Amino acid sequence: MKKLIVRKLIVDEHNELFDAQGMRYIEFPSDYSRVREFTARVLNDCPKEFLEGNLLEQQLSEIIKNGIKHGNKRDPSKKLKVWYDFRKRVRFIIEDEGEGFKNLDAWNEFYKKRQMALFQEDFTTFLDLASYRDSDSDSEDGGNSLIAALEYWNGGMIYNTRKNKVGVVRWFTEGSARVSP
Amino acid sequence: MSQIFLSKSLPNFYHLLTDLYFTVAMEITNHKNLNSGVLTIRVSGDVDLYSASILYKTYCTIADRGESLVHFDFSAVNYLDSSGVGAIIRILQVAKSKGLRLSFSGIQGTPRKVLAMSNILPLLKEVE
Repeated sequence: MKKLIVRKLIVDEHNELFDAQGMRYIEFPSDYSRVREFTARVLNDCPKEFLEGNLLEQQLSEIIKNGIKHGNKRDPSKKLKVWYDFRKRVRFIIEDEGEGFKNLDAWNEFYKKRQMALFQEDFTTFLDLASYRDSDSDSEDGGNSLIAALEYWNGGMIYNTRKNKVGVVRWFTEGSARVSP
Repeated sequence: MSQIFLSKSLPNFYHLLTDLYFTVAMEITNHKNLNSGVLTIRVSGDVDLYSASILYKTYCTIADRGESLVHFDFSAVNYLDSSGVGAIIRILQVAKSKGLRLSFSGIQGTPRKVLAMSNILPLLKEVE
């Protein structure tokens, strides 16, 4: 039976996903041309069973890209801070020095409408809503990274109150999480 | 047959990251089957934040030329990120606005998972 699934981006300053105790730390300059390089550096000694091909790299690079591009506005004087932990699961805390994701509530509304159109198989509306756009978007923005992220980070994706820091975790069962289909 | 090749220079130390070495390059070739009238665009490599806009612009050029039957072969695409997914969405939107037909094949591995997680697979007409 078909089910309507609408997830939400959540703000919770005191969530346990922001507890960086025991996590490793690295920081990067806001160099957009090096997003994938920075991602590779974080994942350099990540256990292979957590990589799922290049799926973990792809998902982490989206968060790093968002922090450098939308958070720090590619300002080279601003840093992107990354805490990471690969013990039993993959967990990251990523913080930029920007003003935060101001349109988080609008994004949740957009996602609700998008998923409703998909549920109703209204593909005309769905195609119009397939990518999220706001005043900060440009032609290089896919407008869909958070949609996949909400499914991928199966242990949670939480923002702090200022919305410039996100905590994410992905748990694995039998070495690999399942992504449908 | 035409060809576009995009490559990026990599810092030397990159090659030390043996476990995560990837090819930051996308290649696009296309050819038209004169019997069927289908123009096939074959994409290979990484469709990412640096290359996705080229894929979109390539299709726009072809659509502006009036090609009504375009097929995308993604069998050699190893990496697709949200910019790549966004490019595919914009290609679908252009095709719809112009009344042009699209089909896809070879979407596999991580790119397929990313499209599935983005809920975009139902929009794609996939053929063998």
